[in-house]
Amino acid sequence: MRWVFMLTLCWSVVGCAVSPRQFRQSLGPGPGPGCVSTVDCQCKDGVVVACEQLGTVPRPRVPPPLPPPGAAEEAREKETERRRDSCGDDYVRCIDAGGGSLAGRVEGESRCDSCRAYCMAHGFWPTDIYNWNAKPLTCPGK
Amino acid sequence: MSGKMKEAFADPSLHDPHWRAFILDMENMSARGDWRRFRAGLRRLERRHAGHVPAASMHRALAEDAFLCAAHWEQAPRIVRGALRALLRYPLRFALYSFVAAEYWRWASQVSPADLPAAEAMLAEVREALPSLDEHERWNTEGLLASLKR
Repeated sequence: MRWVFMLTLCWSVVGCAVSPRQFRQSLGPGPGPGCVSTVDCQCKDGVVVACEQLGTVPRPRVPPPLPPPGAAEEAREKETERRRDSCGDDYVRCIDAGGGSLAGRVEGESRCDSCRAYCMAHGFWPTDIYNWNAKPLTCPGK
Repeated sequence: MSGKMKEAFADPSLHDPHWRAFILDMENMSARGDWRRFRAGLRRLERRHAGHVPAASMHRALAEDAFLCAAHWEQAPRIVRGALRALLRYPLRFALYSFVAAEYWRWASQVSPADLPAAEAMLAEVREALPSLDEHERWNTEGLLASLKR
């Protein structure tokens, strides 16, 4: 009976001296090289849940391939060209429909000019644009 | 594309002096901030031009103006929903239906999140119709849809 009491006392004292994190680590496999803990290792391996536990962001293992130099500019130029063509087609329709003699949003600008400016900026021909009084103005031809 | 969109009748040309006068009158009429005054102005406009322009085209144009103003001026849900219901009674060409769906979505996302599912449903109809459009109209519609993400 006395031995049992001593054993329980000893275990509880030793148990309290070990932190929960150390205790958990003592159960699992030890951390690998370059890791602080097993969870740290898992995070470095890209396990998102492990990184969430540590409060860090997982790093992608392989960095995404970089676009070739000048590719972004080329794509932008291509898009501008596309817009010029498409907005130009709608501009012609707008003129044919009589929009060339309607006032635009700005003094001296026709309706078709304003609609084309919107199209070039936003990438589509609108059915209406809004003037400075927030009133819809029709973009003819669609 | 729904049958209602395909059946949309064309408006008179702006080369028609009566239609042109009606459009200019409508565009010049503004009463931002006073919805009752604006609606009264639309009724006066209707009386002034009735008999000179085709009634169906005029009523649809007035309904379109009322909805776009209601949404753009960030009016209350009751007003915007009513204006949209009134506009959707008319057959709309696809480009206009898409624009109306986009404006409804913009308004819902800023003023009335409760309307977002209805606006999303309209946009889903627009997306569904994309494969059936010609290249030019598809480009325009995709641009319109992309503008909503920005």
